[in-house]
Amino acid sequence: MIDNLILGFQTAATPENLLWCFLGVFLGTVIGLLPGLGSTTGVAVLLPLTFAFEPVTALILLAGIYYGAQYGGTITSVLIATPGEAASVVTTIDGYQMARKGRGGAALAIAAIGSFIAAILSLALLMTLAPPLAQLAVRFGPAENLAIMILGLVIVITFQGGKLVRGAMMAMVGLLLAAVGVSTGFGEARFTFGDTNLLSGIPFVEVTIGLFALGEVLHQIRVGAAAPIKTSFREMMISGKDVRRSLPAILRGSGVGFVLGILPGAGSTLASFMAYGIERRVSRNKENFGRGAIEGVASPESANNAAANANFIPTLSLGIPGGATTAVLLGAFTIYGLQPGPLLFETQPALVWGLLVSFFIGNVVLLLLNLPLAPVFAQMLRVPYGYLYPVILLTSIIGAYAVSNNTFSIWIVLVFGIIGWIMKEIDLPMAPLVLGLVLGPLLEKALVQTSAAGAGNLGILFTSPISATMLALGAALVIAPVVIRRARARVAARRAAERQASSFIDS
Amino acid sequence: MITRRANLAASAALALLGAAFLAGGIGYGVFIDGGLVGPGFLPAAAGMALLVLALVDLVQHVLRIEGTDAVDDALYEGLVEDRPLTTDMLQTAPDVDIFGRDQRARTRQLIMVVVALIVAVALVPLIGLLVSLGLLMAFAAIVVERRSVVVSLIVTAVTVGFLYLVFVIVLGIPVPVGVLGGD
Repeated sequence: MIDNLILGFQTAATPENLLWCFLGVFLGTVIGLLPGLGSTTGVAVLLPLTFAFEPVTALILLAGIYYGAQYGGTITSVLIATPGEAASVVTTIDGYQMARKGRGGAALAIAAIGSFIAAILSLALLMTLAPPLAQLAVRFGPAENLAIMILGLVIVITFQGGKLVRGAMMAMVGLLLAAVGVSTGFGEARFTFGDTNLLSGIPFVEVTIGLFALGEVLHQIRVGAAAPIKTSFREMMISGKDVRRSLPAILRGSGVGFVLGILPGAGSTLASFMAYGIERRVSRNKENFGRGAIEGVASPESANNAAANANFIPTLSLGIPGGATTAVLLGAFTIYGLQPGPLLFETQPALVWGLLVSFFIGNVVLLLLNLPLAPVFAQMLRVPYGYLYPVILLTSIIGAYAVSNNTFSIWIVLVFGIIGWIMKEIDLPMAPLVLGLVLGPLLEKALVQTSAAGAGNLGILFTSPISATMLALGAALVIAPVVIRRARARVAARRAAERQASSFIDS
Repeated sequence: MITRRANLAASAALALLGAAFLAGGIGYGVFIDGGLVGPGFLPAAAGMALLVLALVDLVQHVLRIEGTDAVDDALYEGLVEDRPLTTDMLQTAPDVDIFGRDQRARTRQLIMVVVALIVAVALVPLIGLLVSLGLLMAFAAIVVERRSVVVSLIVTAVTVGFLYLVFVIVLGIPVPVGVLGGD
């Protein structure tokens, strides 16, 4: 462990990597605070820029954007009630109320401190848990790998925050898009309609840029703009009482975020909602929730940062992304010629540990940047969207072109931009589609290998204890919402009956 | 009403997509010799699943049946009251935003941007990528957003110049120049 940390510091602390780490978190903060731009968009749009870099440097930059955007998303949530990141949605409830009462600066400060503590705690756990999990996963056969991927898809479908059927539909669309092109393991061109551009498949970077960047821009044009609330450096001061009230919330939020972040497929959005919900239950200040309670900011912000880091556990050790952004990062690994998964810890220790150590450095930079500079960053919200979105459009289009130097890429962005806009308008979730698209080729490979290992009998999925357990867990997750709803209805009916009985006795 | 129709159309389109992939998958061969999984297995299986799911979604919309929520929704109900369904519900922009545009004006802008995007991409082989994108940006800022012409042209020039520097000079990416010779 110590040797690995030293190796990580040697890799991450080179002047070049430090510079890109700083630039990554800085850009991430800016991207996160721009309305409609989130970490997935940022990573997807800037991915083509990193092709000239060493893989470790590129990943340090992209990961910096990922967790930097978590901080930036908070600024818009608090000051204009428009979360740049889905994971910051819940922060809006109390953060915006605090800003309206002139405590926007304190909300931003406690979010930065909470995020930092959560990041450091979760990184320590990440470094402890990921290597043994990877060692365990190295021993997995194709059946276990297939089961993990199926479980990952089920989790993203069941935890995406909408209707089950619609999440499942989008995951299937992702898998089908991944089936276009020369098939894994067979070498046969499928669904290409004779177009040579489609032989290498539908490119995921262009799809992600289309869905998240262009789709979001089109959506924002229709939503319109809100006026930001001003905040100042003086407001960033927080009192001892604020800290005392927030610290338990930060620790609880970090715990909830970490546990949920580990699940492949579940992301920081879920963690932030759960942490807020739990805090609202257990806090001594629960009557102020929804009216500007500082715990209502501290808890979800800590949770989403802890989850963002914990997301790297399944991504790095199993090769299964935790959410949409880690799915894009996973795709980036393959573009750099790296095979994501458990072997990464053995074959690329400098890269993995350098990346993990860069998270520590990046979070320190973020705290130093955000505590004094949040009001300065907030000024960016005053840049008229009329200038901003054409810049986003241009960067997205030229970025997509740069992936393969082909105008076909731009058409893909355009088509998926319009699809992404429609999906946002009718509330179809995007994360399952991206995960399906990224996992598709890996899933098919595991499927073919499992079929070969079982001589055509896929029943071996159920004979391996690990894969059978994972499939059972997946089935339980699908059934869970029905069971929870029924149990709640039963409890509500019993309480109503008790109330009726007691009022009858009273009278 | 528009959302309901859009939902119905989307479910129907997805059902057709599923059916097409199912048929295509069967054509490629679901199983090969020895009963092993063939190149058509995944598209056929995922296509069939999409077809069934989209039909379920379609029926739920037609009959106005509330579908089963995801796990997190079921949990949220107990934990967070007034949980916002989408981020938009939290956005404070009223019908008329800070630039004085109502919903109809914003929809008109959206259509203009989409058409301009398609035209810009179609023009790339003729006038080159950067010139085409520059025109797109100037059009969006000046015509669609009605921003100051001078500032819009400056912002466009700076953005295109910056992108040229990063992508063409630094990264050495050969952007299409077009038959008219523009970059």
